[in-house]
Amino acid sequence: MMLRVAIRNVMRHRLRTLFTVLALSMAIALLADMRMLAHGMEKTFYRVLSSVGYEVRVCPRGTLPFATDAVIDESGRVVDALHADARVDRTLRVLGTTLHVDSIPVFAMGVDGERQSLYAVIAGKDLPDRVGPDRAVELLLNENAMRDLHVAIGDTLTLQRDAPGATLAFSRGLRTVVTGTIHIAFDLPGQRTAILPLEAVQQMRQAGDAASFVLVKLRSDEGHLVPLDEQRSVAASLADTFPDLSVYAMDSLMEALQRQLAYFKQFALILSTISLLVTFLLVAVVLTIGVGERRGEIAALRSMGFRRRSIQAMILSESALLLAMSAVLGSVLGWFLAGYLDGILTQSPSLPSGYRFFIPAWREIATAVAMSGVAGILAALLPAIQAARVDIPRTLHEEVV
Amino acid sequence: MTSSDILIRAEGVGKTYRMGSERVDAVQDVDLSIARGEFVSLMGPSGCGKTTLLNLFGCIDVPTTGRLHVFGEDVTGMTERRRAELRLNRIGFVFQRFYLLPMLTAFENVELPMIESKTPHRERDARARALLERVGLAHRLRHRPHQLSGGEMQRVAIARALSNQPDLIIADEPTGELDRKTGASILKLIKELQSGGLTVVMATHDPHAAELGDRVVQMEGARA
Repeated sequence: MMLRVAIRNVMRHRLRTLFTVLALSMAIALLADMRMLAHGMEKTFYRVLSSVGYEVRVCPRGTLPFATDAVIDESGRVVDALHADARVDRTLRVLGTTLHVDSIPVFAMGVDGERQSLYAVIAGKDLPDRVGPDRAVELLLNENAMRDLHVAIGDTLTLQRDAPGATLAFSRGLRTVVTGTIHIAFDLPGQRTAILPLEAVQQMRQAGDAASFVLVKLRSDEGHLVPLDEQRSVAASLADTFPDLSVYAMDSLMEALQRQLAYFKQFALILSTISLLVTFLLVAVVLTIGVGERRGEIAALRSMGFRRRSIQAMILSESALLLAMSAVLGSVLGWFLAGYLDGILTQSPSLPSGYRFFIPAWREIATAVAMSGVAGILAALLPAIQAARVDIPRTLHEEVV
Repeated sequence: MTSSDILIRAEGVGKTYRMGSERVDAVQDVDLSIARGEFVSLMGPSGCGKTTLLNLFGCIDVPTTGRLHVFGEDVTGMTERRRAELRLNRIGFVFQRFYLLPMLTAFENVELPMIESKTPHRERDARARALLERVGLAHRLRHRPHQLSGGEMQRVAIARALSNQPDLIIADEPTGELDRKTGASILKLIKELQSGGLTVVMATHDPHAAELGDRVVQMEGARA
């Protein structure tokens, strides 16, 4: 019955309730979205890392893959040492650089390794294991490059290290033949990417035996990624073997990402706190006004013998009702707002196309609703206590006067 | 009159309030006994302490001086919880301004105290219907207070006061907001309650209303 009374009380001022529910819904939606922010980046980054299919990355000391132009100078020696470890199944050396077709830049990755899973060939055929001495170098392009360079499988392309007219332009071009179309999970939107044999890119860069990093696949049943504990253990022992290099298991890369996302998280934390404060204050204000307006009724109920606990339950039920209505609306709003904001942010040209900022998730929405619920109930405590402790004789006297 | 016949016994009862730094003696040195089944009218001008004395008799408030026994229990040292129990189960209140909950129907308003006292659903349903029928509102069960006249609202309030089958009815200016004719019908109803065996203590400043009581206690200057 107290719930019925609470429902009727909430519906007594419909316009006030409507505005309160709308405001609370927005606060809940904002809180849910702030919880989703950055979690989306973490989740998609892990998904992309996993899809590449290598557990360990060996990089120049203090760098992350492609974070700088630094290279591992004697990468062949590193790969030989890696293969000496029985836990290593296969490796892939990667050297990244920017090459040009006429004046159009193409991000080129030289690769050297067998059964690679860095990219997926979606048409044509993969690179051969070895480069023939008299043959044109074979080349794979992503769809952006195919489109922008107006080429198809079987066409030839000449790659230059420098754009035409650049100072100290490298005059000799590399004649290549396009053998396939590829997809790479971490390509940026609109990025033109080419895959060539490592040796060809090393020659273009005049970089000897250099590699930007080495990807390592550990031995496992059916080629699955090995568990994180094992990854960490192998990475630690490889780090001992290569003290002048940095060795990362997947979780250490995730930690590096989390450090980079610290600003996002701080931003999300501040907005989440504001959202909870808004919920708290809104519920406190609305219920305090409601209790103030109904002091006479509350005093009459108390004079009739209603226990303090019953009065408190009535006020807390009103808060719970407001929050329940707002939770439904806020969840839907948060879900769609997350999708909309994600659409805006993922259009950033510096973000790989597979990455997301917000991933709509019921768990985050449920957490936001639970947190808002706690804030709302805490906010209702003071008006509930005030209502229960109303001075009966004085209030009834004031109401009559 | 034996002690078991006494429902309320006040000995030198006083109630003092503080209003800022000022001390207000609302009730002073009241000696009064009210017997079971008696109808006592408290008469006097506004501000003479009638409502304060009713609040004391109804266990809403506690005296600051003297001794007050209601149903044989000493109210002076009684806990708030125990006083609330007495108010819920043994005392019915009728207010000048009715204090019906505006968002509940007449039926629900009558039902409310029985829910608080945990009366079984079937019993409270039957009792609420019977009480509203008794006060002549069988046809107004589903009406909300704003759909009722002043007299009808006071009848609902009387039915509500009776819902937990009290022994004592405390009525504070029950006709204060009603016209003479409607007020007379309400007073008649209250008189009928006494005929049914209830004890009634009513505060009023209307001499005609007061005359309905078996005894009229005149109050003046906080004294009875």
